Amino acid sequence: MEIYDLLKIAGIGIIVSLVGSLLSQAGRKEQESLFTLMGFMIVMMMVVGLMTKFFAAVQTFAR
Amino acid sequence: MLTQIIGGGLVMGTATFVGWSLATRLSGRPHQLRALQTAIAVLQSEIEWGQTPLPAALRSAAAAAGGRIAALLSEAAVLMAGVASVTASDSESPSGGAPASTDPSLPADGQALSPKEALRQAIQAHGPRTSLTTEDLAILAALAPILGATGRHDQNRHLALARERLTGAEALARANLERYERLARWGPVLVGAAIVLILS
Repeated sequence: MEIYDLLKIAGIGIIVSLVGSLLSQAGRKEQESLFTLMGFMIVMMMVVGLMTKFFAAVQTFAR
Repeated sequence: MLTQIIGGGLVMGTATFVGWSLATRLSGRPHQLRALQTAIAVLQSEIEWGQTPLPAALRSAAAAAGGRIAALLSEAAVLMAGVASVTASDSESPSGGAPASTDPSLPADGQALSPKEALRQAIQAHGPRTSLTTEDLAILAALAPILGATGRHDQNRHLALARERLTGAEALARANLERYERLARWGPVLVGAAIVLILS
């Protein structure tokens, strides 16, 4: 895992919160929830990928 | 790496362009609706007091409106320029005829259209270039069968009704502008940034 991955996740978080606030200002609460959920799913997929790499590294180390 | 930077730049550029063009369209609508109301007010006074021929009345209205609305009304005036006998205040005069005219803005082939057809064609040609919605253009199109075809008072009543409807549409457009402008301007930019981040 590099610092780049953390920055990427942080960047997506910032963008999702900004779009969420824009949508909420426009009175689009439903779209805001959907967009936040989408951002969460994308970040979760990234985190799962990183975790998979981590456990694979631990397995290799333990052998 | 260079390809990624170029790709990211292209995505961001496209997203920014989309956002700004959406916002421009949104912010242009109230202005154009206001311009259209001004034009109709001029047309009303030309019909009520000026007894001006319809093409000339439309040209005055276009001059008062300015911008893309002026282009639309000028086009309508040019298309009907040959109908010299039809004045804006003509009562019960059929407007389908096409006598020759000395008007320099007459189309090269000299073919003049009825006010109804001219306005319809002008709306078709220039409508998509404006920020107006189909509902706004429908209000204008509803005037097509009336202009130059019915009595002065009847035309005035229809023009007043159209102005009233446009005022309502303008209020709605201003509310929409206040509500959605930021979202339209910055939403696509942020989504573009998210796409670049996810794909990088």
